[in-house]
Amino acid sequence: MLTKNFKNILFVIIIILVFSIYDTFTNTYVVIRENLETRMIKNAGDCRAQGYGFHKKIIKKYYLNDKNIISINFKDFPSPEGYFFNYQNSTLKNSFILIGANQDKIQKYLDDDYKIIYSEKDCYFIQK
Amino acid sequence: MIEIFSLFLTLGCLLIFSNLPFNFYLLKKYSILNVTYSESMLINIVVNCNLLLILSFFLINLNFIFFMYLVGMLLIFFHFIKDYIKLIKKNFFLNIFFIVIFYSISLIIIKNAYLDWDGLGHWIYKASVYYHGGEYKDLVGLPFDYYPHLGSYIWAFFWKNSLIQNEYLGRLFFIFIFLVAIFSLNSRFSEKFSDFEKFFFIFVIIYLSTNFFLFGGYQEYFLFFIFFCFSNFFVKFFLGKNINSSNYFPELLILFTTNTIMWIKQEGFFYFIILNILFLIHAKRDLFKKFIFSLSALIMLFCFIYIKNIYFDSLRFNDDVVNAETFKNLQFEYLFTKIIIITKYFIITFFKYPIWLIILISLLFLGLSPNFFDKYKFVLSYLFLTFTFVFLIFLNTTEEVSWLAPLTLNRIVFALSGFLIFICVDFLNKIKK
Repeated sequence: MLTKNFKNILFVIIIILVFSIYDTFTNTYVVIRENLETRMIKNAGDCRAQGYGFHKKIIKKYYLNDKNIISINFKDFPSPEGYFFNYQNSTLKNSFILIGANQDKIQKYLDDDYKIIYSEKDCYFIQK
Repeated sequence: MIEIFSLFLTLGCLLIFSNLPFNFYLLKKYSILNVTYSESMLINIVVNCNLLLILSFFLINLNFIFFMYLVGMLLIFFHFIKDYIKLIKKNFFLNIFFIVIFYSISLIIIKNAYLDWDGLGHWIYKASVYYHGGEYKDLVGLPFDYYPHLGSYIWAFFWKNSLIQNEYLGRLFFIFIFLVAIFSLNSRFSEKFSDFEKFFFIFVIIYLSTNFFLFGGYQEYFLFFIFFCFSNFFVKFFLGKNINSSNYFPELLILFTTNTIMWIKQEGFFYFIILNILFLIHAKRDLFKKFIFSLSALIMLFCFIYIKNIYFDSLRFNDDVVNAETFKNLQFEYLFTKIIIITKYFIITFFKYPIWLIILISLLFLGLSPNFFDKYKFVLSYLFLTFTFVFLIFLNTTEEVSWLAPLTLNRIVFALSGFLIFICVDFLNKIKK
């Protein structure tokens, strides 16, 4: 009986150890407290990193749920386009979302007759 | 809370997926194969990957496919309910331990939620097509459309068949197969190990082989799993003493395993060839059976090339097999410098994934004992063929090696470790003696 109890206690200790190694208690708390949207913006960036939040904002603001928008990330991150891609949607013509575009980059597009529709810091939604 | 609840529901879906069609109790009842429960899970995952591969070429609703699995599982579960309860009770600690680790690793993925480079750059597009009800021809025109699609299809399968249909739930498949593979080592440990010692070593192997970055949409854990299955099946069915050579199921299993690898990533095409060469050289089978096996493998290879030709005009790789770099390598000094760079990153990788260090130490230790390499010659052939292949890839690439190697070599070398994980357990068994 004692051995069995000892085994059970040891097992519980092992589980707690595993949880603490993987930070499971904190992660559980974070997942319960913050919704997916908040976590995505925190980790994949709003107008930084992958630019997930900015891309999402443009889709929402201009009612573009039925369109794929080409997104170019000038930082060392992939473009957020994949998160919103739907093969059934058509691609919005002559429009780009630019993430992390500096003045030189945006100027090139402006010289090419593109207009800034919306911008936040170094993120732009441009259209011809 | 709903996200955590759906994590457990997805785990349920994954368990269904790994218990059919060759359910452990059916295999036992009809004496098809003598395997452990976890090995039956490996078999089912491999068979189901092939089944889903075939279905991926047709326009079939993913929910309908899962519904069929569910019906099958319910029938089997209620038929063998007493055995299942007995099994769960017998392996209570092991089951809980599995769930705890699965939950902990999954939660890190769920908390971060975002995809990493290749996952977001191209694998998600393929998964998204299938998730939104597309078929194989709809992949044409996507970024890197000529890349194999099986991993993305299965990702979409579990994404679609989840409660809240968040993308990351599909990726839990990669965590699941990785854990099933490592946990299946439990039966490989000598009986001298107590349950807790086994748990400890299983956890150490998992901890040393886990790279959360690769759960961000990469296919490396899928490759790792397939390599693991191949070596597991090969040792079990083709090197043992009591081989039933009139049973063709093991050969089919090896064919299914190697076929899967071809459809996961580009390099899978070459792994397919390497693994089949290994089988032909080392399997204890007569010439006629090996001839039939080769023929079947060639048919699979032909199907792969044929399908790629139909949809993408040709079988394409990132670099041509023979290109300008191939001829540059004829200059000795140039070749030597590149070999040095590649070797350097090989060594860095071994430290980045310490599981490789343990594998190499285990191999050295076991290699000292006589007869080890008599039985496990295939390990040496594997190391020679795969390492040569990796060197050739990097020697032949048109990209700058010193830029490409740090980015990709560690992932390639990590996936290869799946084949040799069992060596660590053999090493521990030897020490325990």
